[in-house]
Amino acid sequence: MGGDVSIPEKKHQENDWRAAWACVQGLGHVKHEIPCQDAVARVSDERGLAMCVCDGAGSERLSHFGAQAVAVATVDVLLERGACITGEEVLETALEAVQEVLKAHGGRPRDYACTLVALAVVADQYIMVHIGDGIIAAIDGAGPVVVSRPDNGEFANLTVFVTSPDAKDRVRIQVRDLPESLTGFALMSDGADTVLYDYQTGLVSAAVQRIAGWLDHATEEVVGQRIEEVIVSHFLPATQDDCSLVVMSRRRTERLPLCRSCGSASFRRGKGGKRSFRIICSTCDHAQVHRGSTHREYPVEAQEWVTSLRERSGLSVRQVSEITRISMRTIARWMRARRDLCSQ
Amino acid sequence: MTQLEFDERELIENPANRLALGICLDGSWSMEGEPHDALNKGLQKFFTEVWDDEIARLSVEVAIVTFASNVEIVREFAPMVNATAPHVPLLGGATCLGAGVKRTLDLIEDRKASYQGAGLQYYQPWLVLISDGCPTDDEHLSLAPRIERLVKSKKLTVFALGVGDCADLDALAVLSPKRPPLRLKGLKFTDFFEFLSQSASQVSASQIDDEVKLDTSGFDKWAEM
Repeated sequence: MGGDVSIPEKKHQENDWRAAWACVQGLGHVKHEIPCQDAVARVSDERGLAMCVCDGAGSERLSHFGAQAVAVATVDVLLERGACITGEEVLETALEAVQEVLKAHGGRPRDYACTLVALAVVADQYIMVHIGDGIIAAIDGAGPVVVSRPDNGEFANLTVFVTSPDAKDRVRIQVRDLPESLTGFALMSDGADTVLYDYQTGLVSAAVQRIAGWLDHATEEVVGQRIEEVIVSHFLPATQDDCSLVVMSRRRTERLPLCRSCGSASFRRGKGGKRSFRIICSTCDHAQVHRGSTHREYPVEAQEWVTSLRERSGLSVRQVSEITRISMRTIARWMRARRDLCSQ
Repeated sequence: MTQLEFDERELIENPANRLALGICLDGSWSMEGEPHDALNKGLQKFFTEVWDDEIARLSVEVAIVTFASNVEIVREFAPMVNATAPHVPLLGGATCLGAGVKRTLDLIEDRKASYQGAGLQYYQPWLVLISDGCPTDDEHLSLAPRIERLVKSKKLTVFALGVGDCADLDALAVLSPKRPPLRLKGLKFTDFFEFLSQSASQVSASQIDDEVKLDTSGFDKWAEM
């Protein structure tokens, strides 16, 4: 693995977000005995969740130290300053981190050159900071969409780093409101975007949404391991570069299933079994059909609806069963699995 | 873990980033005999090495221009389809260095435009210049501002090589403002082209970024230091 850094969390996560990631050394780096120059850092507490991916410059032999130091410093300052943060502050923090690590390893600041791809969710806003290449994608009901693109200038192998003279002109920072419909994010370095980002169309792969969705079904640790497996089996063969992928997902309780037509959160069960699970909006009668992958399993939207009725509406298992026409046994099993997941 | 399923069909297959390498070669009579044979052998070595590198062969595109009294395009920019190098002919008695370089630069610019039109990503292109004599006109001097502008803005990497004792390194230096021209050791074209293919492989594998820092440790194998 690469530069995987978690700042010690102040207490158990007290925000609505979860994250998983993996950071894997590229085959070209292994061949030329260059360490993994990607680094991921995270901090999560009652203020929110901040993630950062940094990719050290390939030609600089100390850049893995730079990537690690800058990633850690960035997540810290993002949660500290929240939506008030400026691009200059992020850059200043990054350069201070470089100066600190330079004291330990010597050389010049440019030896620690790295890119910076960061996102923090704070209250009802999200903050993106981006210097150089790599991608930030946002995920909602319609799928993933790129919200911050690579800054390569003209050439594929030339990008801007935190230590570049023109970094202050090329740092991109955005603070946006966080709508209910936005359920996740993905951050990646330029190795991973070789297979997740279409350079010709500017679209991001649906795989990003699929992978973020794993956080609904397993712990962060398990998802991180699975991401690493997928990177090793499918990403590394396509690129010689280090690959890092971070996914962030809003906890399921916070996600209301909303009517796609009128936005209402009130539904009744329509006709159809597990393979063709129909939910009818009580306000506008718009029908949503969700397809289970087999006739034995309900689609994940059914589980989401049940969870919402139990946890947000506070209905009993019997009441939920009457509305959804799903057996009480199945509902109880889902709730038990959910409690087990949340306690990990 | 059926709910942590992954569908590889959702992954994107981006075309390889392109590396345009314009090779500009002196085709004057002074190269006749051993130097000319060694040059062609070296070029073949380059094509073989690039073709054998599974990543470089998808990235590297080579154009070859030769100049003497006139300029001839031996190979237009095109993807590699096999390991066969074209044979570079001898052209004549003069050494129109400037005209040869200008034609190569124009080919590079046109190729970049076609990459942009096709939405292809590309690396900083290379100009490789090899000559054994002195230019017989001053056209290369008028090219100096264009090359200087390209090199300074990191839009071009130039590598200039003088062959033999009569090579005018000062003239080559006009066309290679950042990297001083080197003089080939004897006729070690093969070693030079091997170095070139390794550098191209490094770029294709994105091992070189920010600016091209060549591995100079092996230079003395083929260059007078």
